[in-house]
Amino acid sequence: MTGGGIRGAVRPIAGLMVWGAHFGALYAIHAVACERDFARLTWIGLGFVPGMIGAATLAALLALALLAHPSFARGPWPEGEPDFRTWLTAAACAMAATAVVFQAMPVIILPVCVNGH
Amino acid sequence: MSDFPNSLPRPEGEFERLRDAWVQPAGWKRIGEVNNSFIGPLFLATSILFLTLAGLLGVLIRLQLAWPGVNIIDAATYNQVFTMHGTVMMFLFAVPAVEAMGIVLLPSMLGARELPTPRLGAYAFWIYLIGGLAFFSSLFVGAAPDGGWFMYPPLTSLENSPGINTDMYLLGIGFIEISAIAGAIELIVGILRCRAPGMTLGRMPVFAWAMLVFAGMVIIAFPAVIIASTLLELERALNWPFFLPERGGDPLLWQHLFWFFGHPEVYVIFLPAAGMISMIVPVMAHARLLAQNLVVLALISTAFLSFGLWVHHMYATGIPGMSLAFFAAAGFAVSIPSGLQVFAWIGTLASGQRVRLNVAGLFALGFLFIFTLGGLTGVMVSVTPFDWQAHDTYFIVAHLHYVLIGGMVFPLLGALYHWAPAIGTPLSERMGKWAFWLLFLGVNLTFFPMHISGLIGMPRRIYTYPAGLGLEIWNLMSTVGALVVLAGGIVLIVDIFSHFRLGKNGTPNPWDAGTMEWLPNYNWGPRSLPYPTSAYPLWDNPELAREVEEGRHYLPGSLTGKREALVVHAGSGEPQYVAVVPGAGVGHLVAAVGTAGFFLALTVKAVEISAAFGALALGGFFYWLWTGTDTGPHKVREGPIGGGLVLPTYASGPVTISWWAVGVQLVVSGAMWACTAGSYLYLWLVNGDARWAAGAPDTTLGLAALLVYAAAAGSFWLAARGLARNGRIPALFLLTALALMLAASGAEFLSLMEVGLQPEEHSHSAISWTLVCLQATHVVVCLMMVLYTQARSWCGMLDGERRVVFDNTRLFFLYTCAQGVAGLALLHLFPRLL
Repeated sequence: MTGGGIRGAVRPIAGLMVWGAHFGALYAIHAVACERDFARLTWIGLGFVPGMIGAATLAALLALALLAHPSFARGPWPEGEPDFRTWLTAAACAMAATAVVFQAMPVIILPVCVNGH
Repeated sequence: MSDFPNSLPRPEGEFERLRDAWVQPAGWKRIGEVNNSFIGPLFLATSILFLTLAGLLGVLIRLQLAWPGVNIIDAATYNQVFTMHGTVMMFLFAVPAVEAMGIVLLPSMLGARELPTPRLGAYAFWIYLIGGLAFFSSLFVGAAPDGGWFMYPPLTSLENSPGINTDMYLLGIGFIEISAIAGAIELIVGILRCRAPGMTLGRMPVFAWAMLVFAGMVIIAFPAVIIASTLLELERALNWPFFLPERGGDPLLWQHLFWFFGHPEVYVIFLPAAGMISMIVPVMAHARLLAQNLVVLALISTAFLSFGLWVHHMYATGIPGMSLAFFAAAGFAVSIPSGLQVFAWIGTLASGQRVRLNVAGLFALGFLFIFTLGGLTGVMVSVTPFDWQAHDTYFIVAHLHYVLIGGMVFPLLGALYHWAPAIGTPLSERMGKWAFWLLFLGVNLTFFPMHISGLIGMPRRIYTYPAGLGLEIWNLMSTVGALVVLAGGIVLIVDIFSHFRLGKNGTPNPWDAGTMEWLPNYNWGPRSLPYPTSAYPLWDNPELAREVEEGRHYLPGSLTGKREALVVHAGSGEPQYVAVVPGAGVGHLVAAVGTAGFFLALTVKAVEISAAFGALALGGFFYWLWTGTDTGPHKVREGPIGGGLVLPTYASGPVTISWWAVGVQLVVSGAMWACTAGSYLYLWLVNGDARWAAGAPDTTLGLAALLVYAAAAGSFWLAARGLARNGRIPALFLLTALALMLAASGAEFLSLMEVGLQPEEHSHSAISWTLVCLQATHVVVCLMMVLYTQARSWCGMLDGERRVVFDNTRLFFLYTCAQGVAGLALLHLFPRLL
């Protein structure tokens, strides 16, 4: 009787925590770039904001893949335990990956530092 | 051989011993009772009282706006009325109501005896009741807040709001948030650790999942508004400029902090209501919830994504378009899990053999209709260009009421009709149908025309409007609708008063539901705790109620003769130990009176009275802790609970529920610190590097503080090692750890003073001082906790085995050291990187 199961309770939401970190990073990168005029910087033809956001997105997707991999490897998932938590971990990673990709889309189609109105 | 954990007949006197352990005091002493069966209904009744009061304010608003030029109340009073309507609905009705439903239902739904920290729950209720009534009363003396429920500066700055109205909000609501957080801590630990044996997370009822998600959101979101309120109060009381642009402040900082709380708040309210619907719909259809696992995923995903939506309320503030697009994208993303739940409900109804359309079912269908309309207009306003047109118009008023009434009020009313027989007598189906139809028609008649008046251009928060703009008919329709809602509310209240009586089930399981709150329940939950085989154990085994009542399942008695809760592993539901939980007392009551008095007296600048109440609160806390926390190993050190399982009756360390409660509280502290640190970085961003680089605190003192924090943590570690080895705390190490922590905090203060940072000068200095003061408050709490721990040790109430208090203090102490180091890195290192 060493612990009450914190790890088991937190692991299923780890994927969505990655989404949170990615979302925060996107907003921070963009805010700092516009406020401090980093948006003009380029590296091998890639703008600062698209480059940084692209890197953050790839890092988030990699983290999600690593988190989800053990769960996918264990499928298929019947309803009972411990498979429910395994399923939930994988499903939350899939949901987070969808949101991460969706979230990063504006960087492809919108100008970087134009005021909202 | 029996197939059950316990065989029949049960030993003589077992039931009586269990009953006696849970007997509640009679007469006036009952006020000190903490059991969920007593506190939960009181909590719920109080929230309905506030719903009624805020609803009446809504009717008053509609009467004032019925026609151009009406003058029932003047403009200044109108400002207070609409502010109180929104504030009371959001803070004193919606959040407490869902928390109350959790306290009422969860123990029996989870097959538990009690929530794990009943005195904390009772404390949460009493500060809510006392503080809420005092806060509402401010309306009668013209001292109510008048800046709208989101209280934007500069409207609420000292210059523009010199009275105490704004302080009433900042301090009055501030401590009601303490109630919400206290309740959330109890719910998180209770749901994760106090369940029936074998109730895995996958077998947990959806309502429990929804309440877990709700409580998780409360502990992350509410600290943001506590910090926002603190900063604004510091600006008003001490002239620290966080929101004043002329001294480096920014009013938008308030909006960021407020809406980081405010938007998730919508989901804080909606998700538990969705959980209620997910329980009612399967009963209506008599079919298991379709895709329950996906519904759980949807609840969790919605909660997370909702934290990426706060700028939805700030589309008109000039934030760059791409940033707006990030938030718009999150808005679209959150519609995926929200839609998933709606389809699961529709699918469940479709999969049922016969759908029972009782009052609860009607409210569930009403919820689907109204909330879906609110959701659709939500998608409209998440489209940035449309929002620019609709911003601050009655279109938004219509949208938010469709979302909140549809998404919360209707499910809650449905839940009242659904679960009334589980906690007392059923409500009247006939009167309920009258109430439903009046409310359904009234709500649509009130709020649908507001879409049109908003699109015509009617702004929010005006106490009258000129004739001839085409607004008359829509406003009149809204007012008539409000009166219809009032009629529905009256029918509902008459129904409750005339038909509902708290007590033992009059009609056991009248809806033929499948979840455990429909087992025969007492104020200690079911007689014995069953092992659920799915989320619908009563449908799996129709004989379960009888078996449970006979005492065939787990823990059919009391091992220690005291109130007990079975504590299980959070994931697997494997039983770990039987915890003795506290019964009636007065400590939590005294602490609640003290806390409420402290904040309310502070509102009217009565500092001495406030200090006296603060001392009273501390006295209450310490009495509560000293007399009822960590009572030590019981003489019955372990006992059989059935099925060959023998469990200890005492535990210490990470397995205990109190360790978990402290852990959750540290998440709250972490969120508060993160919001303050975020404010520091935000102000840096809008001010430029110069002030930050030039005003960096003294390096030598900062480095010294860092080392001393590390030494304090090390000293505490040595104290822990001494306790583990020798069974007693080496006093030298514990008190040394405390002295070192105080020294580190002192060095932090000196490092700011040394470079001449005056908090009134500039937002940089103000936020730097705020970070140091936030750390200092944690240090003060550590001071009290360490001295308390040491005193317990000196009194022989703490040793190598009886060490729950020590473990909890260690957790908080080490967190404070870590927070101190993070603060030093931010204040000292960050400016030097610029």
